Amino acid sequence: MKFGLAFRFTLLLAVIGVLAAGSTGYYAYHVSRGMLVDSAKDELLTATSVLAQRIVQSRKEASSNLQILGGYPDAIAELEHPDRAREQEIATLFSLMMKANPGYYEMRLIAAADHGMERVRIDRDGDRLLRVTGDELQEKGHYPYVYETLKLSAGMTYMSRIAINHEQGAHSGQDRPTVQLATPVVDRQGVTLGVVVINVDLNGMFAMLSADLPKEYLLFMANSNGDYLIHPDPSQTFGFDRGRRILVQDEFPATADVVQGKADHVLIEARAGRYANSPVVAAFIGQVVQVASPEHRIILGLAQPLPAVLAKSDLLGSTTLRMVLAICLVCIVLAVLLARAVTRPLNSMIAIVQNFPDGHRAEGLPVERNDEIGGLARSFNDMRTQISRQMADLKQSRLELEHQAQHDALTGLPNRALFDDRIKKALAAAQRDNTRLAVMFIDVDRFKPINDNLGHAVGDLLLMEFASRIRHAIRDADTAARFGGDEFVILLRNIQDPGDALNVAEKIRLAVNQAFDCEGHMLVVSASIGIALYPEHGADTIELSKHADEAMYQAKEQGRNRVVLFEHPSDTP
Amino acid sequence: MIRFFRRLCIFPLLLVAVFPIAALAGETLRVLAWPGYADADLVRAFEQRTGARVEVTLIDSDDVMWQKISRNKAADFDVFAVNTAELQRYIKQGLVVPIDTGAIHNLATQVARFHDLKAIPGLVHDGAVYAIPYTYSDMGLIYDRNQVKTPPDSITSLWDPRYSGKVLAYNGSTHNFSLAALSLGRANPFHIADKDWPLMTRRLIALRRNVLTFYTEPSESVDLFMGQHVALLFANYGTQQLKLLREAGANVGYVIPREGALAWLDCWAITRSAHNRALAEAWIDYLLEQAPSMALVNRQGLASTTTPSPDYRPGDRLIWLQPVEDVDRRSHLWERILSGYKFEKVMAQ
Repeated sequence: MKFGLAFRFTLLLAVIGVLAAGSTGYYAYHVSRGMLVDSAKDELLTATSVLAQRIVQSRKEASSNLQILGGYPDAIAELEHPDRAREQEIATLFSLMMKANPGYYEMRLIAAADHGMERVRIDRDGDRLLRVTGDELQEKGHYPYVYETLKLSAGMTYMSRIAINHEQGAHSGQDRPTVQLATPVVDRQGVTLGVVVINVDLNGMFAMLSADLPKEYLLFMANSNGDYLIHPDPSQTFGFDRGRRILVQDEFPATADVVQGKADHVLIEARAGRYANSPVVAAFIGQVVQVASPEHRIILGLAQPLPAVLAKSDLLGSTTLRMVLAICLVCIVLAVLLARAVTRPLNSMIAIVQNFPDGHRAEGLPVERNDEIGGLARSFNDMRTQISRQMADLKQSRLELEHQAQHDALTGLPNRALFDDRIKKALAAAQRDNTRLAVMFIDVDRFKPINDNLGHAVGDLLLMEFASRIRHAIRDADTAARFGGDEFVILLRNIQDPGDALNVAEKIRLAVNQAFDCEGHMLVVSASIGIALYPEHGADTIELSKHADEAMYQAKEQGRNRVVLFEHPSDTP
Repeated sequence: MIRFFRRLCIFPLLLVAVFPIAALAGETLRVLAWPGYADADLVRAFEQRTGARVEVTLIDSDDVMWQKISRNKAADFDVFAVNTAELQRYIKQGLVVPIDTGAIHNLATQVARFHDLKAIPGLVHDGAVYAIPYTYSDMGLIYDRNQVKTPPDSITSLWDPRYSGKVLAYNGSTHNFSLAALSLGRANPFHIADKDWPLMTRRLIALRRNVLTFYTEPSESVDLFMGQHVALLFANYGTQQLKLLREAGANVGYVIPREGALAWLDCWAITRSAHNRALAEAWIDYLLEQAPSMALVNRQGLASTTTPSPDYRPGDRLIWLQPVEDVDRRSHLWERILSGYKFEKVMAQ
């Protein structure tokens, strides 16, 4: 399959246009998509920071509750001198605080003495608050929230590890994710008598954290070692409690820096493992725990499914795609137009070139253009002019040759060949139209002596004048020809009767009888004329010529300078 | 040089040993082991020597090991490493077969403690040896040399009021009851007589009252030891913990108390469906050589049965772990003890 220049030109321009538009569109889409992802990460980071602040706020609220209790005179007095009435008052206070704070599982006043014996304890047990007394009270001295808190100064807060609470008899708080917040109870002399402990329900806090988040957000929380505490898949949490560590840095390797404290936040696009099919963007921050605690920091993370982030980008993508398609379309149209603008003058030149042999004019060639096409047109026009001229010369030469071939060089009269052609045509016409024609043979009487005596030049002049007089004596439609020497032949077409032919012959004979001035020689000559008529004296050229010739010889025999109409021998009386 | 000549002397022996090994080429040995027992370089060396191929599968818990071996009646593995206590159920189920100790030439290189296999509970049944000791870890006492001038020589030191609040014990029910039994002079700590439960419970409550706290992880014990001025530590993870503490810069000593130290002993056993017992025995024999033994000590911080440890005194008694009388009962009581209940309340349920 062959493609024209216009097609190829269009294709090339269209491809360039489409590529340019497509790549620009893709780049714009890619960059915007990256910006969307980045902005989603920033939003996640902000949201995560807000969550972290909320946790800090909760902890601070608990700390201020603890501070009140740590300096509470009844608590000090109780630890110095246990007293049932005081215990009741403290229990009431604990109950009030727990009512106000549904996230508290348990509140306790624990003595430094008696191996960390619980003195006052309120447990949450389902919907009710339960005061634990007597044998149900336990010795807690070997728990870090007791022995570590006892070392703190008044007013300071201790935060335990976040773990599953396996302490028996803890009612609602048992086997639940828990963090203990505690503060020492210090008397006026600065002696630490015991601790006040609040067990905070982490499920409650986790629920609170998740509550305000958009549904598609995934919440993660890990302890300072990276062990998951909150994970969208609950089976991934508190793995260490089941003897199996499940670490955030294993799932999101980039969080290792946050776990190790090398970075305070990290932004992630996760596509591996669990997220191979549903990639997420995520922000993780390491919130430093500002109170005494084995948990140096809490790792908090929020993730958002990438498709949700990219939903906007998909919109952008489809808009970009539409724009790219529109631009491509425009490019194609422009390419077609441009290609046509270039190829149209070429095509018109091709048409002109194709018509050149017929048309002599080169109208439409864009010679006035100043560009390459104009140059090409001008060159072509010059070439065309040159060729036209040469063609005209050629034609002229041909016509002359043709004339020479059909005419007598001396007199300019048609020669035998042309005469034969004309008589054939005239015979055909006469036959068809049922008309009459005449053939005359004319011979100059006694021409040879003139030629011999006065020279060929004079003879030639005479013949020329003779021919001229014959020509003037006949109609334009008739033909006078010279057969050579002093023999002339005349074809008269469309004559009515033999008289017409005789009249013309007589007219010629008289015209010839006038004297000829040939280079000073006044010559008087005569002519013998024989006439044969169609159809009376012959049906074809040969017969007519033969009979006209016979008639002419008859005229010579009868004494020259006369006209003889052929007569069939049978016609002779 | 001396070592070189020694090697020359045993060269004919080696020839004898190598000859049957040549018949092992092309065989495949399927090994089930704990991490660190069959490192790639050690496996490669064995493969090059025997021409056999070794497929190692690693497990990280006794339960998983039991699942893998007992499924398909041990048809999936040839040789595996199991501790003496766990070994018993494999023997009872007929999943393991006696080992030809004559084929394990390196038994002779093991330290004296392992020479009499009958003395190690659970290895020998009806005169047949079912497992070859490979590595072990004992649960001695680690003490701070700065605070404890005289090395403690008894488990009862854990209850010593002088170290009140400076003792670290392990949060594990089975071992803690065994410890309590040892501290009270019971001969078999793995079997507590019915009448002894209240006594043992009181003993552990007393321990609770004397300790700073109970740890779970080795790293946790190191953090507590370094951060809480701990004087005495029950080393559930043995020399591994000792190594960690020394690396952390602690000036610590390690003793096996006179009552003996609980110790787990991992042994290699051959399954009933081992394709080529000679290959399995060659594997066990190979692991008792110098290079694999040193890899255990240097890479894993574990004790090798062929390498004497500088931390042991002659006559130190190791009490190889055995199945205990009632795991659930120990666990139930321990959880209540740990929670801080008083004796009556612990025993109430």
